Amino acid sequence: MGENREIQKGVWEGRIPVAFRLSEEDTDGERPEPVYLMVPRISYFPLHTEKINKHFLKYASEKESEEIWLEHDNQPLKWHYPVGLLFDLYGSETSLPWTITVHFKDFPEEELLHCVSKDAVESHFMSSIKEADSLKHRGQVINSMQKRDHKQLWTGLLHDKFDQFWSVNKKLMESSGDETFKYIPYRLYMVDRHYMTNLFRPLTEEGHHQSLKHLLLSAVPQFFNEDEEFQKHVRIHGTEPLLDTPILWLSENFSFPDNFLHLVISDK
Amino acid sequence: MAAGSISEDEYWDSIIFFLTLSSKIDSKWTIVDTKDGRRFAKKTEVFILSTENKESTMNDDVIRNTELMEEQEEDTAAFQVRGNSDVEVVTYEYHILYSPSYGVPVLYFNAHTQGGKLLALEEVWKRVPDVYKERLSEERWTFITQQEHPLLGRPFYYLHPCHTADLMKNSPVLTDKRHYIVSWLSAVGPVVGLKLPLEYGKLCVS
Repeated sequence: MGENREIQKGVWEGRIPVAFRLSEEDTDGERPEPVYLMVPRISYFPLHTEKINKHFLKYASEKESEEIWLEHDNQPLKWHYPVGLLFDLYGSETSLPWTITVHFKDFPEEELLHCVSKDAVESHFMSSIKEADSLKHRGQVINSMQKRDHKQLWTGLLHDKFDQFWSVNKKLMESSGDETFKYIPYRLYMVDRHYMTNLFRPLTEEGHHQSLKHLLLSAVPQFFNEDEEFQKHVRIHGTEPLLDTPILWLSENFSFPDNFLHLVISDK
Repeated sequence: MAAGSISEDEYWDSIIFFLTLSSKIDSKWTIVDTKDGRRFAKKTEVFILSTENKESTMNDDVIRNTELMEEQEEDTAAFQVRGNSDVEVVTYEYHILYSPSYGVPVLYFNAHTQGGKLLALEEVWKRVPDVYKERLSEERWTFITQQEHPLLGRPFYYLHPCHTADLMKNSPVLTDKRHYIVSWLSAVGPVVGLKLPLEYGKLCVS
């Protein structure tokens, strides 16, 4: 790992300052002060909002605790997307802290998955890792691991333990010689439409490295002009990686803990 | 392709074959085109579930469903009285999608009550037939959960695809890959109330 460890640690330590406010519809009288929190970009909201929910519930008019959900600027936030992806998608043009409204009523069932407990987050997280390994190694690495290792990936994320997580994750990220990733686990996101993905190989048949630009050219050719210049912006972890970056390197170092590259495409 | 999985082309051949069979048998499956030009196979089924016994699984319900339907033919008024008091109408919508990541088909479904309310995950688990209950109790969170529908972006329940290739690897040898969907669906469908009439198997053989 060496120098890459610093990059992986940088990705891991990204935080977003968030101001959580209780929605007006949820209070009878006094609206409580917002609650401020630094939320890890690579994590999921339900792993961080437990105390906030308890706090706000004291002020909520519905004491029958209906399911909590979050919204920014009338956009319900999908808890199963990592925080940093949601911010790059919906919040990157707003001033900090990122203001998020907490709701207890009218759960938007047509848009959001239910999250009854952290088990739902763990299940989603582990499914993503399995799917990613199916793309990279036909599932051979994740399936050869023990339950203990699977648990360590999850608890590493849950308790924000970089070394604990990466000591197992490095096996999933191994790609040397013939054993390079078969396909790159990635998803492309844009506001107002659901994500896109496709099978994309990191190396050409001749063994040349494919870049981020090649991936975008294959997935969203409509966003390139005649001179093959990308007409949009692509963002991950709050940065715009160079389009020449080899996609294999990005996959190994810039993937979220769920082992996917979640890339946001925007106009600005 | 790994053992038990199929390529996307093989998948579509198999889906088309399956829909041809469906048109001969019950015409319940259709192809849906999404706004951005993607497709999936869909079927809607109405179940009349008992509310007397909340623990009842899809097995019992289906029997009840048939009984009630027969009753209805005999005496519509009597059915309606019963219908209001101790039964619940639940509409299941099943989608078959191809997962490029796993190289297998995946079954997505939603279930709504008559009032339009989505059946909760606990309810979905409860309705899994007894024969699968052991597996469910051991690994419910890696068996059936809610997920974002890859083509519609909306919440759907789905049967986790990570063991499908293993399942299909051990199923009787498919002499014709076009039979893949019939073979797969008759193996996984009953978990969530989806039963293929025997005619599908018979037509595959003939």
